[in-house]
Amino acid sequence: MSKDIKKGALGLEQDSPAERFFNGLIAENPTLVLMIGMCPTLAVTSSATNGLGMGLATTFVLALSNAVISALRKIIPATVRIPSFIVVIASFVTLVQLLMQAYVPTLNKALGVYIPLIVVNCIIFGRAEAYASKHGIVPSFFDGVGMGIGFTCAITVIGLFRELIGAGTAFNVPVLGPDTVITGIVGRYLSKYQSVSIFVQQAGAFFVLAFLIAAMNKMKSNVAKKEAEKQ
Amino acid sequence: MREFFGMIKNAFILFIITLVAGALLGLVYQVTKDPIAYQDMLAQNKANQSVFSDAITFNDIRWDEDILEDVYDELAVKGVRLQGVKQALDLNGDLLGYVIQMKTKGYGDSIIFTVGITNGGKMNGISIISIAETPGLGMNAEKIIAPQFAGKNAVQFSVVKSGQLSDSGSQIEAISGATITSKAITDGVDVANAYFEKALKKGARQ
Repeated sequence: MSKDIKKGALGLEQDSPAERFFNGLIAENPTLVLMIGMCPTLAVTSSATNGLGMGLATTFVLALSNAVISALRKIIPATVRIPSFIVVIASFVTLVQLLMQAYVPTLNKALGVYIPLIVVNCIIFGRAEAYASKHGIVPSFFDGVGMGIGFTCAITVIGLFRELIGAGTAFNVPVLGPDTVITGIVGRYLSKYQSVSIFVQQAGAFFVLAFLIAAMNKMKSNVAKKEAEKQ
Repeated sequence: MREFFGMIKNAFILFIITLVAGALLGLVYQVTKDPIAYQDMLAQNKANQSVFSDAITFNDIRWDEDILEDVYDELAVKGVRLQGVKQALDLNGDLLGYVIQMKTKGYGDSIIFTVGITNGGKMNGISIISIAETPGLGMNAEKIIAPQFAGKNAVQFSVVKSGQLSDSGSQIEAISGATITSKAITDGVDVANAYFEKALKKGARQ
């Protein structure tokens, strides 16, 4: 590797597709590190399925709007960039909604409630402003994919914990409590579980998010310590 | 002067972007209009069928405005509107009962659902056509609230907190954390049942 190649996340080449992907997934995870897009994170994570649905819908819009904004970055004047981004993002969201209603009604029934929320998701807006408006189409697209998958993973995990503690289910499958699907001696212990319903209500989102951010910070500080010892 | 032209140029570019986006959306709307209408029709048929599985055809009939107004006044429920009444007919064209479509105000948006009531005054159940409540709470209405009506007599229901059910014939157990949604659907069912009792039931004024 020659010296003038800048290194990005995980020591990968800066702005390469893989670097952008892992940057969004881990190094600059939008939910757990950058802490943007908190509204959907707190509002729709009452179950793992909800988190996954919101995450995937956001990823789709994020990757495409990033690519289009990047393609238009030389045309859009700096002074009117904000309204221009909003027009592009809102158009994509409406487009996705119409297409889903027409051709995949089952998916629309599952994800339909989240689609309008994507317009006001500041991850999309943040990436358009901070990355796509300054970089090429390919890295911008992968930046969107990475950020989207990072967001999806984070909110699915939050949803999973909330659902498990608050309702005793994981992806709607009963795991804890009297209806547990696990049999045998383990199942008998699990069936004694009493669910804590505050976790599926709004306050539970804050508890779980706080613990996950703490875990992420601990992990990152351990990695940083090891790096420092190496040098 | 130069600044002025710069501003006009920026505004023009923004205008072009908006115009292109608008045109594209218009195009997609045109293309998807018919498929969406078709999907809505399928959803409507499914909602009719699922509350009256033994019926073959559904005939729209006109509802009696006066009786309906009386029902609204009597029950004094807010945001509930009757949207349609259909006769459910079997293969021989015999009347099995009615499908009543209700629209009621939920916590988020309107909730639209059908209620199937047999001639004998029993509810076959309710089927939700559109709902946009809080995921994980009100959105569970389909799973938690809807099944509670199936097979019950078409009477007036009251909503009780979850776990406090004492009379399943006239009480509906609310979704914990989503009382407004539970109440909205139950109010809608109450209006449908009251209208059935007054206008549609055999022996009632036709």
